[in-house]
Amino acid sequence: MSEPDVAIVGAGPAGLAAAAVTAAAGLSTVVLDDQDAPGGQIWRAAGAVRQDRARSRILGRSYAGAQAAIKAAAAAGAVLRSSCDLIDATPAPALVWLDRGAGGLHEAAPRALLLATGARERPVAFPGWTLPGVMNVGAMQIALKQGGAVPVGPVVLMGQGPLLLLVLAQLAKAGADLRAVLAFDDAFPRAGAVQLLRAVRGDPALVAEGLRLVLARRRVPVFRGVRSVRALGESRLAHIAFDSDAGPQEIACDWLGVHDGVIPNTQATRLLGLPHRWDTAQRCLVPEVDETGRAGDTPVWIAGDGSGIGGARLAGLRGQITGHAIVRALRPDAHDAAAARTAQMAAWRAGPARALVNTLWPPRDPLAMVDNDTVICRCEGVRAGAVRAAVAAGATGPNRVKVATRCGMGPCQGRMCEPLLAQVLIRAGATPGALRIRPPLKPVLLGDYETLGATE
Amino acid sequence: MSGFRRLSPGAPVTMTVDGVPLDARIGDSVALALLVQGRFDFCAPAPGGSPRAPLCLMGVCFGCLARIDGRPGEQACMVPVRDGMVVETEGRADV
Amino acid sequence: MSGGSDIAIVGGGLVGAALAFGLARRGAEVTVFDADGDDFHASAGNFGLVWVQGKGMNAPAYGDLTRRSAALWPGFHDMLADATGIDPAYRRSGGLKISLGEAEYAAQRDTLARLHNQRAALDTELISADALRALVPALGPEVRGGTWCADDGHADPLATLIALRRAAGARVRRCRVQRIAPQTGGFTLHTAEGPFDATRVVIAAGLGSDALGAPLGLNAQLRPQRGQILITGRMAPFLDIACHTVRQTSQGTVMIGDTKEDVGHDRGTTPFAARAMAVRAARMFPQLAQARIVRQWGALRVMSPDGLPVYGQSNRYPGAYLVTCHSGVTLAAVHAADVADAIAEGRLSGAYPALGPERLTGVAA
Repeated sequence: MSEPDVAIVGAGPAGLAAAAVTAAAGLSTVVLDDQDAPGGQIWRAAGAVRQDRARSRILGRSYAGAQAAIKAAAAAGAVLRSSCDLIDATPAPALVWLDRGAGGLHEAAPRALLLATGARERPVAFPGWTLPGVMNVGAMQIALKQGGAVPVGPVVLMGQGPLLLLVLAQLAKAGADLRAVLAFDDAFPRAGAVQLLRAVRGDPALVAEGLRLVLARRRVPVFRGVRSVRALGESRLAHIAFDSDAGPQEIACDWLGVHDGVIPNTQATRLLGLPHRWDTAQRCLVPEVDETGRAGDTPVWIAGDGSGIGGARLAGLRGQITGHAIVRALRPDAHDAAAARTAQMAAWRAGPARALVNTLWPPRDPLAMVDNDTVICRCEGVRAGAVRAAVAAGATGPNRVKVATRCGMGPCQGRMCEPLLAQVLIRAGATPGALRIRPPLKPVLLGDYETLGATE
Repeated sequence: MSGFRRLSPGAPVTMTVDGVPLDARIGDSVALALLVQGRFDFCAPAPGGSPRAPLCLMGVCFGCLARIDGRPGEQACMVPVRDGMVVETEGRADV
Repeated sequence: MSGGSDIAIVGGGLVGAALAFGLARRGAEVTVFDADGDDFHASAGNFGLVWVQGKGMNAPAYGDLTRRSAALWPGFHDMLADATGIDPAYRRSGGLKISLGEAEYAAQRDTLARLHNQRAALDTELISADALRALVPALGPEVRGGTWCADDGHADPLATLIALRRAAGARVRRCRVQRIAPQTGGFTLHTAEGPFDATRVVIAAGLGSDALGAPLGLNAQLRPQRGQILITGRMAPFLDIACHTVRQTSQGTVMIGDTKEDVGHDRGTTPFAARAMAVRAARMFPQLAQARIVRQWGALRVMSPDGLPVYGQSNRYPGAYLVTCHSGVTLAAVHAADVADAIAEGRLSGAYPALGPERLTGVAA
């Protein structure tokens, strides 16, 4: 197989939109995605959801545009490779991926590389957060999308942000036994803000319903001023205890869904050595790109939530913008300047609404409920006390903390722990820095390496 | 141990988990199929003993590692179930 | 900052911290300067061998030094563990260098014969495939034989480094030394946080040593040599002996090495090297084919032109020393003992005449 012109990592809204543009312009385009079907997180199991009325009536509005985006990329001639994990990459560009379907490691050296790897939820850490039964609200939504599955037993949600409200409404519609919401935000948004929210999420009506649900306190009690949360149980979650404006509480529950917003996935962009900045307000690393998503002068572009959180609709627009920029770079005669401008203007219009979301739900200090016994590094079982001690003993950055404590040495390579580790450093007056990301981005078997080409 | 219930019937498949049959649906990930049945114990605890269990169901938290069809250390949330699939929980070492 | 100290050590890696440990135990007043960067450079990428066999070809002084350090390691381990509560996880497990196939084995046999002819490596013996498999049942069918030395072993390089730094405690200043200026009666270290005076200064700054030492007449002509390493997840214990490029750590992870690349100051990794290391490791230990590789990294060895350590003492500026090597773990014990003693007594060049920097240029420092 000859080398593709464009390799895109991620088949969510941004990756699919870019693929449709580059492939239509005649650039051979390969899209690698780690799930077994395209759509990314928001359009997960798109086909199954569409065909199942029980799921589509709860989830369906989020999937508007899913089929069109998937079909457009394929119709334009983009080649989609599912169940492929990016393992290694350089800005040459060159990439190595594991094909979990067909097996083996594969390599490519395209002319342009687009990373559209999306976002993940922030870690919400507190005593007992490693107990089975504590999950991200995103995971509960995945259970709904992927399996039409609803948790059995009492459910409590904790945190803040649009996804929390959306999942609250979806679980309520699915008949989950919702017992309480522990709100991180000081006060729920006023009615005026609701109007602006309509422009933000893919399912604004449902979000509004969630807001009204919570505001009206019709079925689900809301606790504010939540602090000192503990998840308790023997081998799994049995109840939670916490302080709140309404006094100390204990709620028996089998499931605790947590959420405090999402942050860009930067494993791949940092592996490539691309520059990033620390966004103080968003408490996360964000890659530095120009307005078309290009990382400086490199042949590497970044689009979608992975270049900065903007939500699904904005991700699709940024994917288009980046796709046009790649075409202009690789095949200028095929560049459709008018379409690029249209996408750019639509993206500009969508921007302010995102800023509003950031204002309404600034992420909480991730250490607010963490005591010295709380696990920070789930992979290696490293507790906050050990991390704090290492920083106090002079570890000046996350890599030195890693050497001293093993925090960050596990397979997740900081995906879970890095925001917590960064905050420990910030509290000690140091800069948060960044873990040095090394391949493989996800573990592979030693025997897999034998399938790589033997030439240098 | 409470798990999940289904909103609608789906296409059933049967996996073998540690030698015991376990029902799942086409479209489930292996991790979700186990969670639905109230099973969290398919991943060895972290060093130091804190439990490991699925947190994210999307390949980020590494709390769902299992040996699937002979391949160790698979993120069970990233593997779609298949009829006849053989799943072994990780137990002791290799995490 | 201002201040002074009897001895200032520039560099808080395995070499500098081990020297500090030894000098402090002798009662010397020691300050260690470690640049405020985000990496430990060579000391954080080490494989962890305490390796005797094969060392000293055409360099008996190096062979002697290495054997001395290996003999000191058990006591060094205990001292460090007692002083800090951190376990350096040293095991005198013996060491194997394994040959795959006839050609490798023949070359290994010849090399050992030459060493023995020089009266070197007398503690290393050839070992046949059968004897090897009795020692290490997990070895694969392609293993043709190897060399064995009972004095070899391995340790946890990060634990050793952390322990040494904890032992150094408040003596460590986190700032970069930009240059060292000779003064009457000593030296002034110009640091990023102001000047610091010392009667004596030891440069143990890895690849940064030459820049600091050259004005003082100390130059080891150091160059980086990259080594890449793979590490697995935790596995059930199956290997206690240190096999030159495969060893199982005290956590149960397996480290697999290594490469020797001339790529400048590039600590990156290559898929090519991963494949080469993986293929060889699987040929040695077939069960490793199913091991999960969790990380790959590159680190830069600190290499003098002949690969031997450099123990330099400036003639022009008495009291200035340069100490560098690429076997920071193996030599940590002797650095904390004999080498520290020699520095304390001002007789480093007399103690290791064959390992001074003048051997590299023919010119006295």
